[in-house]
Amino acid sequence: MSNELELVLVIALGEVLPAIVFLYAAYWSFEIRRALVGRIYRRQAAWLGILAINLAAVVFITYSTNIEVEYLISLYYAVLFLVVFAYIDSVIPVARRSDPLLRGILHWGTLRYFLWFDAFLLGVLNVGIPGVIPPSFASGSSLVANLSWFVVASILFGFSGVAVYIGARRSRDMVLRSSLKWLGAILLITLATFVVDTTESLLIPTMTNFQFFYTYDALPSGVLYILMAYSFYRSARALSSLGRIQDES
Amino acid sequence: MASSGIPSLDKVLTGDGYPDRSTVLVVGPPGIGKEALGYWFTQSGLEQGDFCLYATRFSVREVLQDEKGFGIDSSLKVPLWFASEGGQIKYDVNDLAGFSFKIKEVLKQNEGRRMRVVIDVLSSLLMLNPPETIYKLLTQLFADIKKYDAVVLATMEEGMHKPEVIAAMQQLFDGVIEMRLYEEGLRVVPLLRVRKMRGTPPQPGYFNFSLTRSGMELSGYVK
Repeated sequence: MSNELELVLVIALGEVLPAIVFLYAAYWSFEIRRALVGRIYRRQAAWLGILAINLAAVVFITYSTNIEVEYLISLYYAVLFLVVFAYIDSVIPVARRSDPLLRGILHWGTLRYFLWFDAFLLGVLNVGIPGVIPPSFASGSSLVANLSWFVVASILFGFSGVAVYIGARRSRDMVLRSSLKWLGAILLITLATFVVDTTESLLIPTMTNFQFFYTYDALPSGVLYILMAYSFYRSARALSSLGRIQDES
Repeated sequence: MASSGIPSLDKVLTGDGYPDRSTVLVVGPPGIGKEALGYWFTQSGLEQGDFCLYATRFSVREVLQDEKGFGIDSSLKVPLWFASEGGQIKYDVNDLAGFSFKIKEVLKQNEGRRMRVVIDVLSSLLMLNPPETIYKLLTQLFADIKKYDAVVLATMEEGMHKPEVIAAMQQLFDGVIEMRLYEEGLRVVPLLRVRKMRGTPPQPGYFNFSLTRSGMELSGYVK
């Protein structure tokens, strides 16, 4: 009975709820994109929508798979990380242009090459060592592999998250500012999921991914996915202040 | 009357467009398409042989690129640009006195002609200066502009200024057009309403609008 309850809770909180919130965020992203004409905001909304759909898929794939399809998931993650970084790399110059003082953001112009290398390295680690991603997919992966992956991923998402946040703070475009602040939160929450997953994979090295995802051990990651999905929703909604007709008529 | 360049909007305004010698403010959130009203207003003026002045904080290249997205071909007739880059007059956000002086000079040089002025710098002026200063500047500028046969269309970002600042600015203008996105259940609906327009009774209704390459389409909103 308790195992059944555990399974229901973990699936509900770790899989169903985050996926619903991600899809809801994607819906609003596309709906707001449809109503706007400003290129910057439309592009931002489109990116958020596309990424939210992908992350809804990731939640399902992560929780629903078994080791046989791990290689394909690794490839999917590798491409997704590159796409996410391409998006961030396009957002930082926009944030910089909306700063009246046009200040550089953490030497992005120079460090972005290193970060692109880091993103490719992360992709190679994913595809080359399928058991590694995410680190909680601990089946068959070594401590060194897990930690290497963690360091590479943390540099990419930690640095990008801080850069986006600084860009948001300096921006005088209040809409972009608000949306980017939530994007920074998304990146930092992603980093937190890596920390949680890596820690758990180190604490329970013998557990397979399938076992891991259907125990209470997966709940912290599930909660972080929900927070991430909510941040997507807020980032999309921040792209335009929506009035309510009944308030004003 | 000065046509807005959008037949369906002209009908909603006064039947023929913006009132003569009026100042009109378009308020809305970033990205909703306020500038498009300025583009079509200018385009329509140029086609009718009016003198047009376009003040922007962007470069001329950026504005022309944006205009293209709305299907406007500016290659034949262009306004006098008051822009940060590429214009006949250089716009400097820190030179408030110069801003007002240069506009008045241009109007004086074209006295006797019908004129149209688009001011797409109001929000940036308000972001970098105390609202009282801008209020005073616009009051004096509009008093001078009204000596000429000119219609002014200005845009202002919603969400970047305090409500009392927006209210004060709206009070300065003869007409106020509001463009907003409204949440209706799970839908986002872009609506326009004319909050006030000199010479016409207040209009309580909202209008659905959509911006396309062929212009703006307006239709009465029914909830």
